[in-house]
Amino acid sequence: MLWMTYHCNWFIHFEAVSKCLAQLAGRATCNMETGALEIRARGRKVELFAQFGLFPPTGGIAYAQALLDNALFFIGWRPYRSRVWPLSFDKRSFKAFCSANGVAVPRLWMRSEDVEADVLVKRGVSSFSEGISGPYAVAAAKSSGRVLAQGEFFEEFIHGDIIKVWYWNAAPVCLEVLPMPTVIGDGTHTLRQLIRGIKIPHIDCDWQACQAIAEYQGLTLDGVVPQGQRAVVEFRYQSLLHPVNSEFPNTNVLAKFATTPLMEQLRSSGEVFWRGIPEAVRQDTLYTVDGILDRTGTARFLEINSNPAAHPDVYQPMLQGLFAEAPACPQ
Amino acid sequence: MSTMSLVTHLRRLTVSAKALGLHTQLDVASLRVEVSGTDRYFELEPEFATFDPRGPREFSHRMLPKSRVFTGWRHAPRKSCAVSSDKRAFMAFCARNDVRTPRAFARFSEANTNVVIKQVVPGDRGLIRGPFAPGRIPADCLRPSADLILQEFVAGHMLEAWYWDGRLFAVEIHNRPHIVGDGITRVRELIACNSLNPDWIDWVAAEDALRFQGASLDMVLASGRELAVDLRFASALQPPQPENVLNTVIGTPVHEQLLQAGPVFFSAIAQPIRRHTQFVLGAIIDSQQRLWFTDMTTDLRIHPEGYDLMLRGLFGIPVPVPAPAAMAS
Repeated sequence: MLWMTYHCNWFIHFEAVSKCLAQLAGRATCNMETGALEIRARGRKVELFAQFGLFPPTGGIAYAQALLDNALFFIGWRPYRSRVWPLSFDKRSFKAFCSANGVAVPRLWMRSEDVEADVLVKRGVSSFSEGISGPYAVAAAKSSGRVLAQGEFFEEFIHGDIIKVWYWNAAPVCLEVLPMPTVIGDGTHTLRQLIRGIKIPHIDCDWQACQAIAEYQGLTLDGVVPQGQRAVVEFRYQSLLHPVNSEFPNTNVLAKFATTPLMEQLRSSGEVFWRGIPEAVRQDTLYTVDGILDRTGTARFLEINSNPAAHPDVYQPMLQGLFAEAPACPQ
Repeated sequence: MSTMSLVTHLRRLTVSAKALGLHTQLDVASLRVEVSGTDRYFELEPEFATFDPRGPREFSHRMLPKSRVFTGWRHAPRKSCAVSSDKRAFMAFCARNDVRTPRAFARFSEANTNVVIKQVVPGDRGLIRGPFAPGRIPADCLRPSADLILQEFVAGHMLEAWYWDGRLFAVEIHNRPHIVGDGITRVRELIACNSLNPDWIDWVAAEDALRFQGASLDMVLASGRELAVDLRFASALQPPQPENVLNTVIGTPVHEQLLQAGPVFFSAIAQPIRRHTQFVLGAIIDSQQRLWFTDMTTDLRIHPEGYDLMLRGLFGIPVPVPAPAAMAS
């Protein structure tokens, strides 16, 4: 049902662009074979390239830049086919860059004996939350003697809300804040049964990952969860355990945070993220940054995505930027 | 593929048009599509709807704030007929044309077999209650009403068959959604686990289905025991199913009956507006592979696999005749 959600529903993207065109007194044509848009406004012409989402036979989700026969949902338009830069490729490089520039990130360790907090084990290069294990309590991680595989690292596990920020250049233009899904024990049902009660039906979930997060909280999947005990069951973005809203609403909450310290943090961090993009591909770039909003209201950033799904709310700043009035010519 | 995703529709329409040498142009603001050939063009109107697990609702050719599904492009204007909008007209049409349809009863006292209760003119809520054993119809259903009919309940698989100008091109078959007991979980919770969102569950429909099987929402279902929990083709409790299984029914008695039904029901649409129309027939397949036709929907939802026939029809391009060898096989 991803194609029905607000930010993967193609006609909502069309509607969002149409509203922008009205403001720009522009017009657009759509190439129906590729989904690309050619927009004309203010004497200029810009092509927006489309991306589509699909469920490959091998499982998971994949993005495609062509309108393939098995494409099912829409990922968005942007004014280039693809952009990748080093910080978007490897989470370790991103964290090192953030730390060096005063942007809050979870701590990172490369050896188990050095770990100083509860941790996840992640891979530096991965997409769609793949290759994550844990969380592990600090003592368990420290005493595990675990030798990380090539490319892996220990990352501090932060309790809080999952956030995704869309940036157009240095400016935050869209924000999602999702609580980590939880279940509450009733003294009767096992954790597995409680998880089955909240998960998307007819698709099996990653029970190994559920087992790990259960053990972290002193629970087992097949043990009864004591009455009233709340257990976190997921920490990743948009999994099978996140509730599905029956109206598929717009989940952009940026406006709610307009005057908060978080907004200030997102703005200042955005300047840093944007500077981290090589100059050749820096201008007019759409990207997202994932993070955790911790208990103090501070965002701790996890990774930057150079090829994200575009939220329909990004077109307003994107098109205003692309068709900005040219500065007056020097006299 | 999803029959309600704009991505699927746009892809299928574009591919079909290109294969026939036609040009398509999309209006970005309205999502109307102009399809043009060498000497003529047609404008196709989009249809949007709000999402409801029992099927799309609140159809509109303009995007509304709550529109979440795309139900296809149609050659405007939308057509209808009494047989597709009135159950009594449907049953009378079936009787006149020797089409098998479940028996109907005029009065509750006459219902001497298991029945379902339906609205004569299905509204947005698509009310359907049951099944009920004779004499077991709940008091809240017993009000005499001119807008309700009692129809014999036929057990079996549920089918929808899609036609363009009377020609069959897609078939969907659903089993009735069901739950499986684990010996510890109550039926209510098993049902809740089968819906993406608890708000979507029609608990009245579930209770009807359970009562018919001698079960209740609060009982614990024995491990491995199955219970049907809804009787509608579209339900929040329906697991994902293949969307066009036409190829799997070819050569069966079901296919033969569907082929016969197409021209019959096509004739139910008034002759002056009949051309260039898509309709959907609902039916039950019983244990002997007999079809019991239950309803007809005209020109409301467009199936993405119907664009080839639609464009051929509009532009007068003949449908290729299968080679004799292919027909024999």
